[in-house]
Amino acid sequence: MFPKERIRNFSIVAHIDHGKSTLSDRLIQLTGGLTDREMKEQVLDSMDIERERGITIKAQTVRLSYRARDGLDYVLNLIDTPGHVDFAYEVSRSLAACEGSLLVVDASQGVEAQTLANVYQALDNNHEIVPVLNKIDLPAAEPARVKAQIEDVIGLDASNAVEISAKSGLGVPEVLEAIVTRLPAPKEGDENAPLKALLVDAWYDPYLGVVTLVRIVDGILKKGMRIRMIATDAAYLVDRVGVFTPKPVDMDALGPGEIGFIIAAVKEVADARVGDTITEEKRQTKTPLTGFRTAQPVVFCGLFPTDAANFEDLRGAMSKLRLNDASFSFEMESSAALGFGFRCGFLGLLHLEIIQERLEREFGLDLIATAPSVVYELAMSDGSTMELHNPVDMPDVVKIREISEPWIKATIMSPDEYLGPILKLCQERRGVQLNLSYVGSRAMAEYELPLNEVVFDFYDRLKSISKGYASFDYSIVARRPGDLVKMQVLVNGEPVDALSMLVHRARAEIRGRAMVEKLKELIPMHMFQIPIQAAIGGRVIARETVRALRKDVTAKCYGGDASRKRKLLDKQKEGKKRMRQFGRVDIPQEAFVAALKMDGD
Amino acid sequence: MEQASRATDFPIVASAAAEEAPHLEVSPGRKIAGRELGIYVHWPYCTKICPYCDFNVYRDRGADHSALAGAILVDLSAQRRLSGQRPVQSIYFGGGSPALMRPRDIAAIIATVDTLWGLVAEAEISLECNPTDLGSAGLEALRGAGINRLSVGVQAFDDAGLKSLGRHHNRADAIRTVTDAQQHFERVSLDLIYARPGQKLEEWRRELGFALDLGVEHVSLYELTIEPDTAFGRKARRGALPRTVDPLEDFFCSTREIAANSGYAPYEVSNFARTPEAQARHNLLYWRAQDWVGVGPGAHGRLTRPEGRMALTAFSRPDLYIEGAERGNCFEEADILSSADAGNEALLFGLRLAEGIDRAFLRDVAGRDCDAAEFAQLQADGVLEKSSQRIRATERGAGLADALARRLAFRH
Ligand SMILES: Nc1nc2c(ncn2[C@@H]2O[C@H](COP(=O)(O)OP(=O)(O)OP(=O)(O)O)[C@@H](O)[C@H]2O)c(=O)[nH]1
Ligand SMILES: [Mg+2]
Repeated sequence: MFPKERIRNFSIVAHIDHGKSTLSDRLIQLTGGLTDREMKEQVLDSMDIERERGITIKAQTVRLSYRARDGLDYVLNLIDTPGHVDFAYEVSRSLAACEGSLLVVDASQGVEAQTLANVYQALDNNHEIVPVLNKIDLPAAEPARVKAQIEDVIGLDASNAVEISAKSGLGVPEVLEAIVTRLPAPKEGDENAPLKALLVDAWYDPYLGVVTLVRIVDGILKKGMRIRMIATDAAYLVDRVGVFTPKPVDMDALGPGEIGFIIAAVKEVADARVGDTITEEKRQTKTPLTGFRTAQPVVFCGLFPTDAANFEDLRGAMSKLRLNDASFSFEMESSAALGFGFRCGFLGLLHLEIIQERLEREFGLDLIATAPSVVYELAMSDGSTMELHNPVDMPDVVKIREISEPWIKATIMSPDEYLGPILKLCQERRGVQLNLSYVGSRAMAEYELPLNEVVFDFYDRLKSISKGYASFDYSIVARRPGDLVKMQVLVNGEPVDALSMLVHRARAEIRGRAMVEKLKELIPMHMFQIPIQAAIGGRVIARETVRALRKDVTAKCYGGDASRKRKLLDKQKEGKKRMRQFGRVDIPQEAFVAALKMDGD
Repeated sequence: MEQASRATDFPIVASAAAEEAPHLEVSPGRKIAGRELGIYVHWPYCTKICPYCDFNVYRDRGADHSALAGAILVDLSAQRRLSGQRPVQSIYFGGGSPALMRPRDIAAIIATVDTLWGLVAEAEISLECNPTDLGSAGLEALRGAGINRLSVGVQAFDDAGLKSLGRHHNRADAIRTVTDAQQHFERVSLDLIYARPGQKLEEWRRELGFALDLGVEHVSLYELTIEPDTAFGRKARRGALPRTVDPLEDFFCSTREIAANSGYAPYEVSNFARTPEAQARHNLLYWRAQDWVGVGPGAHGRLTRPEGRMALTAFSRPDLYIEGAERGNCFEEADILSSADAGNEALLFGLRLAEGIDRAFLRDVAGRDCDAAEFAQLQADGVLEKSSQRIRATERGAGLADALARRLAFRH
């Protein structure tokens, strides 16, 4: 067993893109976890979609072996976390497995919204924090100013922050020393006590099956041991024990303070509940860990196969994806217009986008996504309550006493010059200002906002009005009653259920007008004119018309064009598949999400 | 293997008032024995490649004209075996720049067609030319070689327009060539391209009026099409090609209106004739899904045979085509179209015609009737005429041929 005094467990946390994964690369390289040949940029971002988008989605753990300047060998367990707010849950469970954090701050950008959110979370977990100023190679880097900012805004001593360039490797050896000297070893931990381990994460690996990441608190976890998961109350035989270097390496046992994986005959990821306590079957711990709440989906939308015949394929694909992502939920749904599909829950819009993209790419499916919605709570006149995940299911208004919606607390940081438009945006979205402060020339606005106003395009709008400089973080704080009404969209006189949504009465007209204007752009011209209307309970609040098509013909068409034109015709027939028919109108599938994004102000 | 099929009383009457004209009801059991036949000759060489052209064309850098003309004669006799014995209605010399062919090669091709198939008495023999290709003597030589209809690729009558199209002739050349052509040929057609980069509708209306006043019997008026694999296509992708000032649909509608008011009937999307006899008979073979033999590099042909409708494509590169002729096979591809494919071609082309398509003929080609519900719906939308015998666009549907074809297309 490795002496726990020489173990350091730490998470790397930062705002999105501040360089967590790049720093992880350097730490792995310096300690020899991978050879130069095996190394690539952001090596821990192993999913295709992570590599393509250049972001981390899933936290990754690596065990490093490091001989420190004191001449002793240390085991460092690094957890690289995602920066995007949708994956905040990955950060929170990673923090629970560690005693310390490296707080990475981009020295050219300074403290951003997720920097703050993550620091507070680390402090809540009683972490020791080492600030690391990254990207000092950039001409725009201002380490002194950013240090002052860290002290002012976060109240963290930044005098001995480590200044590095994760890209070039400059200063990274100092980070290793700081981990050893400034972060604590695992505190308690009795090797002779009954096994007590935290289930940190679980995922499905095509070669290994379900892999469970654990942090040992007490006792020893050995290969061949019979273990019990307390919350799910199931027992398993441990087939393999090991660590990631980042390659999986088998071990005989893991002791207190260590982080590693086990492979037992767990069938589904859902059977390994994150936050659960693992103990030994024949000598069980009397003090299970408190664990933590599972991630709750906050945004819902319907996903339907474009071709109804692919319904079963979609079900199969979703079950496979869920194997690796328990935060995504789905249940069957049927829509008058779209046929059979699934109502799915996500952690946020990026999560939604990513799952949709993975379903389409990895499983070759063509999907239609309906308007994203939040979860409403309906208090009915008969005293009962119900949760509404889908506007289509909304009962008759006369039966509803009150509708409440989720509210968030949002923190927005931005250069001063964009503050005006940002405050206006928050105000328009029914925001309630909590606080407004300045950190040098950077403004920090805290607002309470209904999630319903944020879900669609708030983040896009924020980015565009601040030229990309504003950062945003949020968490759900409450559920509050609101004057919410169901808005329907009629295309050529027929209601399109996939486009209906709940809106605040005061915002209905603006939302309705934006929606019909957008649909007018998105719906191609047909041979007849198409009225598009937004309505609340039979009253039309906005209307646009798509003009009838007048010309759609090739200018020149002679004998030599016959084959080409005919093949084009076949292709266009194919193209029509990406459209969905509502009555006599073909609506392109991207319209369902795009229609909700509002341009301008 | 000779298939002694003879042209029957098919095809449909070529009048725009086809609704009243007698048309052929094809009873389900009866196959159409044969279709009208024409010959297309592709001459791929040009002195210069135009920036909007995506045909199979090559710069003429001292190409061997005898070798290519010889190969075309060989190809003709090979295809005579495929087409079977039936009279040829028309020959069309296109390109490229067929006006740059030697008159004796043209004469030899015409004579060979006549020997192999037999030309009908009033056979239409057309050739395309550019304003600077030929002087008066050259035109007379073409006539001597047997050409009886000239299609002049004027493209524009104003110097700025010609420059924007990358043409080397000017307004004066264009006018002179048209008047020269009218002196040597009874049948003259001219081509114009509208919606040129930066063009205003008002300018085009004036230019078109001028062109129609020249009094030719036939005009082809094309909207400029930007093809991806052309100089214009590349320019457009860079965003360096100015578009028209006014909407394209306005250009299209105005063009039809002005032509019609000057006595030119729009019998096809881009083709206008002063009388039914002035219509381009050869081109009507394509639009009516009749048969044609294509010879020359990259030429396409369609031949109806007992086993189905055959689509033929010759080798595109002149050297490969010539080599092919030596081996006795110039085809890069030869397929039998499925009945759905054949039906779709008939739709795509037939819907372009003012006369439309005979529904029974289409049923015979496609092996099934067109979708009755779609047909009825398009009639209800006012884009197809309310006739049950013919599928024909109304005035409002005149610019919608492609969209209509997509709606009515046969599935595989
Ligand atoms: N110039 C410079 N660029 C850096 C440095 N470190 C990281 N980057 C770049 O910053 C971008 C983001 O780096 P990542 O390591 O993916 O950032 P991250 O914090 O892991 O991002 P998320 O996981 O999406 O939150 C990449 O383009 C890196 O190449 C640095 O020290 N200097
Ligand atoms: Mg990362």
